[in-house]
Amino acid sequence: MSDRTEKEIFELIEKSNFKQCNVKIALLRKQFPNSSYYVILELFAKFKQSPKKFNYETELNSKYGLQGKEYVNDRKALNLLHTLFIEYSKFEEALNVYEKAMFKYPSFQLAMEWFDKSISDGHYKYMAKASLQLSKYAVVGKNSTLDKRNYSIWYAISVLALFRFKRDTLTATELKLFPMLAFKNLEEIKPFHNSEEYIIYCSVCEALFIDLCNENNENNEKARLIVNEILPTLSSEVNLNLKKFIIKYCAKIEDYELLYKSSKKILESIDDYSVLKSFIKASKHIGKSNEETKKLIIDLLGPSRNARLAYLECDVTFTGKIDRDSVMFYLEKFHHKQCCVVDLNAYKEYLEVESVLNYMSELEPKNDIHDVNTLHFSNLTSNESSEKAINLYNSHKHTLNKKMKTDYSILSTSIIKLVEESLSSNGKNPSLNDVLFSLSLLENYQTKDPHNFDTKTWIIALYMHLGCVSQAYSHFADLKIKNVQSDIMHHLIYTRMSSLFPHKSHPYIQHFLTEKENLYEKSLPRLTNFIKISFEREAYSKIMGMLDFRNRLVSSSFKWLSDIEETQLARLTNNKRGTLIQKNLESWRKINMINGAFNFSDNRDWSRFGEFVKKDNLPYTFQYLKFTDMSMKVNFIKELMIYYLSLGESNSTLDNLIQETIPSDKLVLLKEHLTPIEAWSFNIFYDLYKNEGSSLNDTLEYIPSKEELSTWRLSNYYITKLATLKTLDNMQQISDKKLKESIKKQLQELRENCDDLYKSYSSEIISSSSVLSSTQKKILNSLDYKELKPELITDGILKIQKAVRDL
Amino acid sequence: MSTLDPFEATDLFNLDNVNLDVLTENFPVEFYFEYLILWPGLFFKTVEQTVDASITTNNISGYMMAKTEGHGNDWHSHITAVTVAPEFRRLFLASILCNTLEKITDVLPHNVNFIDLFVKCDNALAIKLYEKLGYSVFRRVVGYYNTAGDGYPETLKKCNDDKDAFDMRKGMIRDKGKSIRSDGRKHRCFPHDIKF
Repeated sequence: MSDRTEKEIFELIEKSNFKQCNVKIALLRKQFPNSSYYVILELFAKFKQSPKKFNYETELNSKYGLQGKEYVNDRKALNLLHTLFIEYSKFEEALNVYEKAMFKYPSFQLAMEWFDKSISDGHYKYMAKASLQLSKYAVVGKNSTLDKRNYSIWYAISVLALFRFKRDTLTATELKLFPMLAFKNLEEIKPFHNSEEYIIYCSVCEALFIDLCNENNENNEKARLIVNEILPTLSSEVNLNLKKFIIKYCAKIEDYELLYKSSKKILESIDDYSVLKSFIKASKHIGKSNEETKKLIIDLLGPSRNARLAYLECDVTFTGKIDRDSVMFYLEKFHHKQCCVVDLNAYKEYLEVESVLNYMSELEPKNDIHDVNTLHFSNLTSNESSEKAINLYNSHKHTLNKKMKTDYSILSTSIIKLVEESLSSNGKNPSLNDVLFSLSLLENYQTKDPHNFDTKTWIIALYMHLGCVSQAYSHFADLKIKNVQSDIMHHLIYTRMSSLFPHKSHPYIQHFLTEKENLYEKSLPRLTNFIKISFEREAYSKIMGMLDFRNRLVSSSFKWLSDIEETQLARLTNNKRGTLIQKNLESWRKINMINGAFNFSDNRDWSRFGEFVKKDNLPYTFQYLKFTDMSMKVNFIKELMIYYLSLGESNSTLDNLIQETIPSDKLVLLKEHLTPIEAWSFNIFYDLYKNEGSSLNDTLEYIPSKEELSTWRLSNYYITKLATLKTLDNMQQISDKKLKESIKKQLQELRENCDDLYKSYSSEIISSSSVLSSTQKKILNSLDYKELKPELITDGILKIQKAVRDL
Repeated sequence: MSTLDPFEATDLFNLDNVNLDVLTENFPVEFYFEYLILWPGLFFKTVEQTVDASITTNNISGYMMAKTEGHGNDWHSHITAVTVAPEFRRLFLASILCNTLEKITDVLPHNVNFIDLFVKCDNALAIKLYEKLGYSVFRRVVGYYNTAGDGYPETLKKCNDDKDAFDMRKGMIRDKGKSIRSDGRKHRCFPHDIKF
């Protein structure tokens, strides 16, 4: 068949023009009766024409499934079979067709295609099996540019990946057999050619034997192998991976003489604290003194930060306590550097706070960082620390005018301290006053330290708490978030976007959609090919990290969140959702394929707000970010229910998903993972899908709590309710006339109330800002800061009001 | 307390402390992957072991992205990016990263003749740092930082400190001083002259 005819057939399938498509395929089948490709192509078209009518069992599984007896050799036929099985989430079968083909028609090219597909599907067992076949059929210069030995390494890497990512899929025999074979194959290709090969050998010894084995003898045997193998490389090259192995396993086999020599050799090249610690440990074991060791460290590294800190480690190792001289040796150079607190904290159990503060007081210059460090070491009550933070800021605020714009001032920590105190509010939920006061502090500070991203992210979060997305975005835009950062940082704004700011033409949404496409639609699909290239280019040490990265991005919870938000936004704005739902289903299938389960990888950065924000226990002002794995699954189910309700059919995939995810007593689950209005909305569609809306009359009425009528919760309440009622209003399944009227009436009332709801919230902002407490005003005055103008917030509220009133 | 470790692809999820900095570039994932694949040993990071892992996963304080390129006398390593998180600046971490690259590429399997990097002509702080580490200006690349709007430089006569880069080099012993020019700042070239 010419490429043109093939292209035409696939275009006809795409356009659902099956009549013409079937004629063309029938003609081809007649012309080429022995072609397996046309048989599969016909099956494929049949499936696409009517997936519901397609009999998976008889048409596909019984012939080409795990027990099937039909063998296919043709590459294009195999590819189509793979696609068909994937459509049914039969990931094992999808790759098994290659295994069967390899059994009957073995070739290097076929094995390579099998390997490629297995990387793409994240099926490490088949990667391993395909590697063995590659090794068997590779002939350098004829069909392969790589030698058989390379494929032995490919096999070892595949087994490493299998044990790391999908170990629970292995049988007891496989658990034993795969490591042994990986090890044996590597032993056979010795001597290794480069450090990348050494690294894989060490990784196999470590991950497939030492980490899995409880028997010390075998552990030590493999540890010794690692040491013996790497030791000669130390004199010829500097490799950071090999450094880690030699240090770790010299210590494991307790060969301290060797550990001493190796770590000393490494320290001659690089200044590394973990090596220093090993050096100190070994030094003690071979009978060197504390003083002798310290002198050697200085001889090796000079008085660097690591070397100075190593004095403390020496004291702890040799005497169990830290000398004043050692602390002073470190402090004299670093008391006024930001690393000071983090470094000394590692030794806090050996240091008395009072002593450290005394030492600090002896040192000059007492610059802003010195004072902040001192404050950190002081164990202060909250009142004391607020006062100190203000004093500290005022003592050094002149430095803000002198510093370069692109430098970051340590004084931001004082401001953040005050903000945290304000938002903690003695354990109660902070009031609007507290939030406005905090924003006043942060906005004033930001003008003096414009690029400080710590304070900026706080500002973004607090504006989002107030529901002012456009204000939050004006700061977010300064951060120039792009590429992989989108997966980590955009949740600060995009979480619940469809119910906070459904403004499709707003620059933020436009910016986000571009970044989303760049990362998830363009970069992510390319990564599998990069992984393949890393095998070919022998960048072996990086493959596990790349696989992990690809897997985490495929199953990224933020990616999922943003897909669901897009679908919800399309529903709210009456746009077509069929393609988006299909995309959601495809993502769901891919996560299952890569992870073996419907689990997410949470790559969002939860560290930005230090100890104040814990992902599993978000403080009140960060509740808008509470969007758990379960929230995502529940929202996915909700959109699927609405979709299948609109088609007037049930769906077995959805039914299974509901059964796996939603317990019979769903109320507790919904309360924990959704806002009250979101839970209400879910219940309505659940009732419609599962019980044909038998309780709809009772559940329809919803009265918001007072809390839901301000902050971000107002938009979340209003828009979620609106979207729910609009969807119900468009549903043909609801035939009860009274019910229909009731829905229309509620919708009308809600829309009529829109302006009042937002105006009332604006008034609350104005009145709250006018009643800042005397303490709050005093603090602002003492810092020479101005109060935040309430119009800044009310303008933001007005923008949302305008965006939602016509929905 | 800094430890030097190889950079892994998954580190890209934990770079906020470093990459939220306004002057630090965030490249597309493919660019980082290219470096990981082609120069796996020359992409590494400093990790702060004392950062409390229960509070933050961001314990990377800086990283080095480098490559090797060129032929014959021009065989060298090139520093593509060396960057340090704001809170760990002025602790010589950048020096540690540069020195480590030097140690790695001055021996087998690399054995480079020199290391080079590009720095904006108006970035006095960075130039001073590199000079302290033994680098010197080899030539001035006119219009290296030109945007699409600026267009390609038409002449070597016009200089702009904000748009031009210094090509700074440090020669290894085997280079026998070929990468050192006492009057490097006077030597000018076009961006296409720096392709290897």
